[in-house]
Amino acid sequence: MEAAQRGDVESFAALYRRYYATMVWLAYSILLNRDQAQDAAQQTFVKVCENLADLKRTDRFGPWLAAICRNEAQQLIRARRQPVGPRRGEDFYAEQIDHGSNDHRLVRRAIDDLEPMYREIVVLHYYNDMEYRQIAAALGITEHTVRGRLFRARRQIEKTLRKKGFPEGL
Amino acid sequence: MARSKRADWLDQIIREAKPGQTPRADFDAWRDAHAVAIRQLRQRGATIPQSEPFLALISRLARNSARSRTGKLAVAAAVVAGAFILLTWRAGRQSPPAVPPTTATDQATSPRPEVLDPEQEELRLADDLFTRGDVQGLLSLLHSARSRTVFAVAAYLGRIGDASSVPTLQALAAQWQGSPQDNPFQKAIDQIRHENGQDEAESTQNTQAPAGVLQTTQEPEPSPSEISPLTCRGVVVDRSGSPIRDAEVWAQSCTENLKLTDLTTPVPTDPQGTFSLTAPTDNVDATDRVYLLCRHGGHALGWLRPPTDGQTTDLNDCRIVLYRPTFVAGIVTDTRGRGVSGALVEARMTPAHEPASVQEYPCTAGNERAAQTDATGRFILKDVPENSLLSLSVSRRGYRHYDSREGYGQFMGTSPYLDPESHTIRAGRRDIEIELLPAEGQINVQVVREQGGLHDGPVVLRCESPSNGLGPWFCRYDRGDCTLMEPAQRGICTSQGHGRFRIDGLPVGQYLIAAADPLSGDLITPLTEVVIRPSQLHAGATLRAARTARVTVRARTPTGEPVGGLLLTAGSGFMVRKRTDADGLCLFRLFEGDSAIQSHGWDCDSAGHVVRVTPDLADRQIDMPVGMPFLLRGRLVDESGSPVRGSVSLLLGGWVSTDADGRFVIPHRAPDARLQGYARDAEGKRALVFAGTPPSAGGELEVRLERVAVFTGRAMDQHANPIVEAPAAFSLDVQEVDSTGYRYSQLRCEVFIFDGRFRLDVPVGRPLRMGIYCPTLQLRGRAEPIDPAPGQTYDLGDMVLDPASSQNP
Repeated sequence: MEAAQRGDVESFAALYRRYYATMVWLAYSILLNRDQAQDAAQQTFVKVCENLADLKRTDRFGPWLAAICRNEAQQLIRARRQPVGPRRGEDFYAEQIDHGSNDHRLVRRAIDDLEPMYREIVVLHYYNDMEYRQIAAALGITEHTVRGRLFRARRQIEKTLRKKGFPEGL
Repeated sequence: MARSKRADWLDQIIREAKPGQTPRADFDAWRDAHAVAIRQLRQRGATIPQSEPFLALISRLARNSARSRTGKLAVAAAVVAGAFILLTWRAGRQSPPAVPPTTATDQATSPRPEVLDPEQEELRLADDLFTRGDVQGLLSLLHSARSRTVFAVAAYLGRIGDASSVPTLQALAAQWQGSPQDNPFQKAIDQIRHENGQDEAESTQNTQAPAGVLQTTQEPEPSPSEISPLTCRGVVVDRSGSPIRDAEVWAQSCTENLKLTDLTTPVPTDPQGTFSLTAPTDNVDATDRVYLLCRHGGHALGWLRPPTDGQTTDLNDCRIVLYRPTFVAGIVTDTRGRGVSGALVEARMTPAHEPASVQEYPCTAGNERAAQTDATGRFILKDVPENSLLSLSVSRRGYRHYDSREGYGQFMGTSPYLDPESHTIRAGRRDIEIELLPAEGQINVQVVREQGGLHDGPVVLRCESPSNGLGPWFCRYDRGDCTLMEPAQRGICTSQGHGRFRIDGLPVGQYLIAAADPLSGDLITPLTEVVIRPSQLHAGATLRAARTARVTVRARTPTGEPVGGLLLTAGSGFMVRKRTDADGLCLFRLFEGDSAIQSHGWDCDSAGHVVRVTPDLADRQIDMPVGMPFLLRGRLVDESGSPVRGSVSLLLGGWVSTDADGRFVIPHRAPDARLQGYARDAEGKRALVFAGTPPSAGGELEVRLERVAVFTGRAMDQHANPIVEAPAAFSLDVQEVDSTGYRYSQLRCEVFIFDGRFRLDVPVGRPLRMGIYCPTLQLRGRAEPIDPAPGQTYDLGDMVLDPASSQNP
């Protein structure tokens, strides 16, 4: 960490490889769009390059990174609200259309309907296979909070799926 | 511990729904694309070892030295010395506020010239007039001056004690929107009366009026024939329909400003459960709501909003159903799961059989309950009717305001957008868990006068957040007190005095803020945008007053009669709401540029006016043609023509309920205007969106309900993201389909959507095709034709709005 702060590119590369996937999924939880989430994650590391030297508490690198990433994602959302013109062509749109099964679509929509605070925990835990401890460290919250949020999120997802007539499991 | 099979199954399906694989972290590709960033990393990093940041050094030294007793003493001494230096520095920097207050910058750079701003000129003029005892001059100043001067003039008039100034002061006192105790005009009137010995005579006339509020009875009273009392007869029954004897029934009125007044004393019901009461309506405005409240031991407080409009005088079928009392209990926690004590939990209730009225947001003590959480964060709301649906809001300083209905669509007038199961809580639940989010964002606001210097007079801050679907809400500052004026408390506002405010507990997002004159409601500063970012939770805004032009609106009927009491909105960005006076006049102060002025109520087809205020800020006068007042009477029937109990609403209007004969009355519509409305039965199985011209005078509109199916869905943009523009108006049109294709557009209605989702009742019996159009983004989408069956719900899924469809509607 300290080495990266002093401008060591290899150390920075290690940080990048360690946190990149987490940032992509974190941004996805806000943007609900994988391509834009990758854009946001990459832009996050650009911001990190610019400001890493100013980071005082290196033990808070994870939450600091997550805050930058959320900010980048929010900026993309704001940009999205501008009058929409052709941005990346029809291919981009076609790629976003969900080709999964109907059940998967329902589950994904139930996750999309969650509050962002809960959605990010679900996405990091299930999509990025992170443990409670890892999520807590990355977001700067306690493991207990992660557990609580995930519990509530699962309950909400279950409720939404039931309402949609989703077949009971097993 | 073994997990249940269901939990494992849920885990599994969530994992299976993962949208694609986790992306690979290709650092080399990223480095190639962002070589500049890498160079910056190297350059910034190279400076670190040479000079440790000063604060980090202090912090490290403090940590090290704090391990020993001597070190602790040294740190304490350093902190005290630092605080002393800081205080001395601030004291030197902030001179005590004087009139006019000046900023430190003003003092440092240049002495203030002897140029008074317009407000100070007005104050000086008022002083002169008071010294000369010129009552007429002061009265004319009352109409033209700014609010700070107006308050001073009112005080001067009170001290002069001339009775001729009372009518003018009364008119202003009636417009006062703040707390009655602070009403400066009422104080002046009281002082004049005291000096003229009229105290006792007047007070006997006003026994019904709340203290400090001047009622219209003090103005020239209309003849008794003009104002008829409201007579209500009806029955009080329990849930099974059995009459209840000895229940107490009384009438209450609620103004637009949420002021409650008991119109009658309680009357008991007879052994058949019937009651009859007569409520005086001379203090009831046409815009007020009248409620019947009912109390009986063993039952929860009951209430009914009778289908009255301020003009109907005889109601014969008021049926009040009383329910057994139950309670609602739960816990309020923070994000760590700890109970939050001292949080205010407020509930608004509506009968479960009439869910549409949740949207109406009725205000009366009869359907509100409140409680505070105890030390463990638990709360109990008592005396809740057993069949109610509740919407909850929770406020606590330091936390974000919670509202169970937040984020869902607002009702606009033609289609309900409400899912009682999701948005409300059923009475009797005792396991409610509400998690309060921490107060994330803060906005520090300072209001600056046009000439410079902080604005230290009374001011109202107006704030809303389109990106969060919040607001508007208002915060009023007046001589040291800072109070929220709107019930929707989205953030907690405090004032540091002299035009400085702090708003806490705001979510991340974009905010629009402006300062307004508390008396007239006109904006004194243009709109300012503030963004709270996740990386910067504290934001600041300086609102600088700007000069305005006086724009007078004259509301006239086609025959030239002035229209008083007409609701007008004007402005660009924030709209200011005002009503015309008895002469049909209304004065707005508008900034340079284009502003829209629109009338509401009588003429629902009014397109409004666009006023261009020129840079010279010349006064303008606008003529606003208004239709004649009209009382729309109608009847709600089903397919067979039988009367239906239900509710009816017109576009831009509120809901009215029908009586047992299905009859309803909606006031103030122009007979030549086009009607657009929505009606539904109490069970929500039949509905109708209707449009057309109203019946001729004396006629009755028959609304024949149709059996409906429910269409739901979500509006998505072409990138498959939900459209979260807030508020974005979408129109949904339904086309009949025959063998040749789409014949004609049958129905059309608009809903507000905050999160892209919509819900619409659509008549059945023919194939239909739904279209959706978002005017703000100029996008359009269509669904496949459906032949709906009655009582069914059809989820249209994600309706993609894209330019391609828009070009070929």
